[in-house]
Amino acid sequence: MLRLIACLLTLVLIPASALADAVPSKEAAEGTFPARPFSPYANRSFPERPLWGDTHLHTGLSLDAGAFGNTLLPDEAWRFAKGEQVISSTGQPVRLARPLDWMVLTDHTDLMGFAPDLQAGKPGVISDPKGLEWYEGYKAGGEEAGKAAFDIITNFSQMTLPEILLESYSPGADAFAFTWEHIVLAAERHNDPGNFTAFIGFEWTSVPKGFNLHRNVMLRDGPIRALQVVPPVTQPPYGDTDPKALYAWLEEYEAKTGGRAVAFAHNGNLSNGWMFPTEDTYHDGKVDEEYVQNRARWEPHYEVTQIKGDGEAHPYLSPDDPFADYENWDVGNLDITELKTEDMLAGEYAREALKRGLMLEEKLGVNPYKFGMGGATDSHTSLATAEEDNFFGKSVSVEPSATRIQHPFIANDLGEIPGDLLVASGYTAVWATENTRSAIFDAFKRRETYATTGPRIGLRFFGGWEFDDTDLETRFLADVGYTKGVPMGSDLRPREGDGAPKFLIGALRDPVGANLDRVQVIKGWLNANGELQEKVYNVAWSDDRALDADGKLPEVGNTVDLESASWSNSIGASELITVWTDPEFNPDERAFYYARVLEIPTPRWVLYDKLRYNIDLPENAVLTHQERAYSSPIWYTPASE
Amino acid sequence: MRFLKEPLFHFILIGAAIFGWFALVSPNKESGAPPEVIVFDNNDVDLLIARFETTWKRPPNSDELQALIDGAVREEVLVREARKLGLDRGDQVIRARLAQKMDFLADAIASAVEPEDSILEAYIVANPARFATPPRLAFEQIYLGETPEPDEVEAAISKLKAGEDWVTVGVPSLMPKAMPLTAPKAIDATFGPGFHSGLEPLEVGVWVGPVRSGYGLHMVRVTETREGSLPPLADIREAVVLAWRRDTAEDLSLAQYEHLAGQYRIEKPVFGE
Repeated sequence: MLRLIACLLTLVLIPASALADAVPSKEAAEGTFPARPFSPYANRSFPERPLWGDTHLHTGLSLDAGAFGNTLLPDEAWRFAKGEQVISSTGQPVRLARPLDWMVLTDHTDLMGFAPDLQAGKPGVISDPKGLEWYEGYKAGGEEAGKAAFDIITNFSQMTLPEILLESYSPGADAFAFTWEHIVLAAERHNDPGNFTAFIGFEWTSVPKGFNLHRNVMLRDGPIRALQVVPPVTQPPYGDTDPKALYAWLEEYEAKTGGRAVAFAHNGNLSNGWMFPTEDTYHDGKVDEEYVQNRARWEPHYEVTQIKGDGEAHPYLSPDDPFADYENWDVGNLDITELKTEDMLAGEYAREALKRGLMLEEKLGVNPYKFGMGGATDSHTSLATAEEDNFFGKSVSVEPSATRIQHPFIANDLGEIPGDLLVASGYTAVWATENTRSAIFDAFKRRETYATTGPRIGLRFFGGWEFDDTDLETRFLADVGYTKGVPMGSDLRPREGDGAPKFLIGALRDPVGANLDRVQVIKGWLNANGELQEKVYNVAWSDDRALDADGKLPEVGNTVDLESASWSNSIGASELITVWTDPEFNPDERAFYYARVLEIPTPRWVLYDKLRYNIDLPENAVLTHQERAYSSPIWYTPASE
Repeated sequence: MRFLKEPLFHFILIGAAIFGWFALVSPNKESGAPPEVIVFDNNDVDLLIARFETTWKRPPNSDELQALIDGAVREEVLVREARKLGLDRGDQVIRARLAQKMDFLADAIASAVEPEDSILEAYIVANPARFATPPRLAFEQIYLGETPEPDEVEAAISKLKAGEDWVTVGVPSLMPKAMPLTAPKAIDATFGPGFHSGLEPLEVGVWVGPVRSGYGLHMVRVTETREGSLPPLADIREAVVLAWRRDTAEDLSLAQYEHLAGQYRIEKPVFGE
């Protein structure tokens, strides 16, 4: 042992001058690295195709999912994501049209594992009078069960759960640790590097006063690291709803295990303005240096579209964007205990957050809202369905049935989200070099991801200073993109010369999906007066349409046949490729750019319900829509700093 | 379910042995004539200490230990007296707890059953998709367009025959021009359903086409194939045993229940018909 230490010391003590001698001259190094090979496929290190997945799914282990009757556990959720047929909690056979490449399973950590024990009437549950009452409600089924489930959720959000139950299903309790072990080991069983990646994760369910501040967490690691910890919760005294507590947990996780983790938020639209603060945080904190550093460090990703609404943009914030009015939920907070007011919206939507990030970076030196984009289902059915014709709903109570559209997602004295407003969205595409935990996780960290509302639209988005129209003729768009520029999620390389940034953009329709209407670039910037600006540019489009003087493009048309829920690819384009140069570039202004791709109109899920169940829909139900993809942004920062 | 029979037999055998053993080692301890004394020995004390330590991460001090022992004695007295009064009967919590303990016992036994290789092999054959590595296929493709004219297709073919660099033939597109060894599902997810089955019969190294995808027509050249296979049991035994146990645990515990229930004559009203 002593000798070993002596060896190590000698190694460490080699003087720096000796190292300097070891650096070879430039001449000597030439030839060490071979020239670019003839074969364009040799030594490829960038991704050929996007890997599709869901970052947000609940099983029966989640308190609300299980209380509402989800009996499928992680094993079934994984098998379903991999393309196997399973029987849903309501007894319906279901299968994905195409398997996913990866998934993060994110059960709620608060009272994790309570629901299956409630379903089974385990003594730990029914020995409590409230537990017994819920169990009997659950067993009675139907309306009684719904009432019991709602009572559980209410007690959870009001923090009035029976103490003994809280204690038995919180960190420190065996049941909690075993449930975590169940989650970790199930992911491990289904993780199949190269074919399917199963991430260990959880949802940290912070929802103070009904303001949605939820974060999902995904680990890069396997059971050896994951089982050294249990995940954090939000219910006192076992946890805290302040994101600071989550950041502390993440910090400790990495320090203790040597592992890596990221967190990402969702549904700012249900936070009543608290998701992307600029001055005060909900928890009486300030948006100060510590806040922006933590947020930037731990949250490089945002779930921009999912079942509870699309959060890219809002028509109030973006009145010049005719496509901003898409699947927004803007009635109130998560449980509609407080109605929405217009001044809250700026703290809720991704585009506005990206803009606010520029302003905060100017002020504090770090951009807290420098995130990549992703889509997820947030299904509570264990079934990651995001396709309109195969939509299994938000929870077991709204799995396919003739009456599901009549069930509001939530309704109370203040307001309502009717059932037909659920969104059959979305998935995340990742440009990762291989289908493994490490490769996909690392792509999240560098933000090389994009969101879609469900369709598997292919999207390449590169930014640089040297792209030109000859690049459009290349047979290897990605080669050119990575060589002459940077991919989505990156910072533009330092500006050379006096040109404006150029973007090489390619969009490919889903192989079984609808044609594309257009590609847009959304630019946000901070002008010299400190004002946040945005503009939407149409940069590539199908058919023989021309921009008008204001840069507006005529609509692509609509081929949807409402009688058969079908459409035709007789309009739109299979592929759209362009090089676009920012026509209003000012090198002194911070800016970001991201691409939005719109499909031609297709049926919404409600239309399939109407035809398959032969039912009437609510009069104002939206029957067709334009599904879309959102790239992660590319940022520009003036050089002077 | 035939493969179940043998393990089921083991299961019931083990079950009978364990339940029998329990009956043997705990005679009259829990019921029967009330004993005169309550003895609290060192083993019991150790158990109390261990429990305390799991909660508080330290051993109890002497006051705490005395309180623990007094509490345990009190509990024992009250439990015995409650039993004499029959208070344990008809209590849903106690009944559910007892039933659950039996379930735990059955689960523990089920997970101890070590299936024989022949059973596992039969299980693999019955569920090939879960254990087989899928076949893989690598190919290059030239996109000819959504609805190319026949002469455009001809032109592409003759360019290939003339030995032109294939990368320059056809229409530029964002689709991957070459796919490394890839499973059928991933090929279909990228090019549309059925594309893989169109490639499967093709000879390696030869340009063939046109072949239809979700985007239009292509010339394709398969560059490498690798057959799918069921790995030998030895390589995947652990995974198979886990899957088999999960699938059979329910059947086993049902069988166990039926075995136990079979020892009773059960009279119950019948509704319906």
